[in-house]
Amino acid sequence: MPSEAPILAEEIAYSYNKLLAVDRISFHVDAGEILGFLGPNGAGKTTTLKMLVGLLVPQSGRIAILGKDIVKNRAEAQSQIGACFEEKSLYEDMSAAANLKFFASLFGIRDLDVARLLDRVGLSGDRKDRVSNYSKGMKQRLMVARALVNQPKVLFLDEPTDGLDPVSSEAIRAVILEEKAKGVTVFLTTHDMMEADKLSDHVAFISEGEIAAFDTPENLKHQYGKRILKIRYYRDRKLIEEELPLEDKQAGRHIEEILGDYDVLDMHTEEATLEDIFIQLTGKKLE
Amino acid sequence: MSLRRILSIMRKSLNPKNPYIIFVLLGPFIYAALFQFVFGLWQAKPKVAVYERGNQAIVLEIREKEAVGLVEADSADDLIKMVEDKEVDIGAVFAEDAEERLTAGERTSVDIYVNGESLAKSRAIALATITSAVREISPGTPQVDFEQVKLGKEKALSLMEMFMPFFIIIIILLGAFLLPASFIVAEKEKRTLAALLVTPTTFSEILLAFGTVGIIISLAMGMILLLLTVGITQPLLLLIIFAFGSILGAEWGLVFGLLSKDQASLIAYIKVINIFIIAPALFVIFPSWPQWIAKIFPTYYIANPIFRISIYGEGWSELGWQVLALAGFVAVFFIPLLVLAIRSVKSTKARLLTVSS
Repeated sequence: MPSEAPILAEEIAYSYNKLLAVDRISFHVDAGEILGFLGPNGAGKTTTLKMLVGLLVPQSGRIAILGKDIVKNRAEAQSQIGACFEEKSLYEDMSAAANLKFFASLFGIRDLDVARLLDRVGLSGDRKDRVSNYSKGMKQRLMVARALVNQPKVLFLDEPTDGLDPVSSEAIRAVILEEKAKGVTVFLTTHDMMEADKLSDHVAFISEGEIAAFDTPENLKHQYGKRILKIRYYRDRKLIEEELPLEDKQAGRHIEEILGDYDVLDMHTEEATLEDIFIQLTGKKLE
Repeated sequence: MSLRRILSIMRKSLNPKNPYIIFVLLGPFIYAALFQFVFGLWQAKPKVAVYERGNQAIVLEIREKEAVGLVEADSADDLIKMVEDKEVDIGAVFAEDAEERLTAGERTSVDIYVNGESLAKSRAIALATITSAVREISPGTPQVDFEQVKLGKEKALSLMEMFMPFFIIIIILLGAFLLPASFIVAEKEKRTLAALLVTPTTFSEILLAFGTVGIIISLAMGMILLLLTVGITQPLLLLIIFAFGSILGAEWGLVFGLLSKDQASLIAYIKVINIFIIAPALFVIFPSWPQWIAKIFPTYYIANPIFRISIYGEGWSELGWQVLALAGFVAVFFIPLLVLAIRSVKSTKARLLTVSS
């Protein structure tokens, strides 16, 4: 495992009393990459994230963030990370600007460009409003902005778009991609496979505290998914629908035959989704 | 430990819109005004002990006045003991032939024993009642020589002075105890503690910031209240006692803040422990109650020295041991805070984010 990876977890485990939440998992995230950490509720995603950001001390194993042991050099590592949790954790009696300035002060930042940061998440017009008046999506966008006050090199996002309206979700996804473009490493927990597929360079499937698969979305689809061609055509005035596996060599000839002899209505290829692969690998649905 | 981060958290906590801050800043003055009003309307009758030999015509006159609570003493010594024990505000010992001399229009003498810690108002009522009774049995202007003997500390207490220990404890309870406790509970309820702990901020910095806010406000409010009521004598000694008292209050506030899951459970805790915190003030207000009971409570060592300094001008020589006892309580109560803080760091981190794992 590369020791220079911004996020490095080696054999980390955590139990809540007798409940084993994370079972000696290892992984790393390379610089400037987004890792989609995927799993259903209760799979161990948030426990892993809590260990990575220094909120929980792993009961075994080791975590290094930007080369620094998160347990031994917690403050040093935390000064270079940003974290956004799923649950809203804002000072609601304060304005958005005051929230950001306060958190910036904890990092020793005095010249925070609040307007620019809020503009990035589409909240510049609401900067002076009390957060208690914000919608759920606005609060989540503010939490993402808060995670960026210290210009982190590593960003941890826990279900950042869960339950949000499309506008807020898209705004957050845009920020994640902007950060990636800057070279920021992103650890993203989600159970939204579409989102993970869109954003992630690598994905890890976690189920019952174990990593069931770790690869790029393309490789996973290639390895576990079946690509098929769906074709609809008329034969003797009757609509026929066929699914032909692309890996099947016989399918090519059959397709040629259909195209030559019949009136084709439409045809398109269909790939397995990450969700299909997750179910295939773990036997569980992502809910 | 970063002073900059501690100051940032303190600044954030001192939100003038925070209802707790408003309550803490205004509370003592509201309480003081209410007490003045309530006790101005209702006050127990002054207690007068009388020792009169003969057919006790003066005693009967005093009893008819109903302005005072009359206690008949069996002897002059018995009366003096009652005054010394602060069972009565004033005692009057009439000469053996006082009644005959008064009815004959002749000069007589009355020994008046005054409880030095009685209220000035009570003394005035009691003396006026005794004088009026004497006048009733005298045909003309009574010829009486009053010889006044003050027993105990020489000081007539005003209502405000008498209830000062109570207000001191209220200030410490509100400022040093309630503020840090409510800050912690609010962070728990808002789940912002997790957000703070993923910055370089440590749990001890958070606790120190909250505790310091409580201590400063409590200290400032206490000194202001003293200044506005009885004045400040021996400012250094007062400041030390207030500082220790505030630190003790903050320690308790942090402990109960850590123990409370939410505002409702904090209020439930406060209801339970309130009486234990306030009880010593009652013993200072009512000195006839057995004082050894009061000395069991840590807050006695806050309220009593401040009371003795402000009212009787006592100093290090009389109160030094109480200041030391208070410092001892501060040290002792730091231990449960430390244990609870260490436990909370582990459990809080594990439970702060209630999202499923």
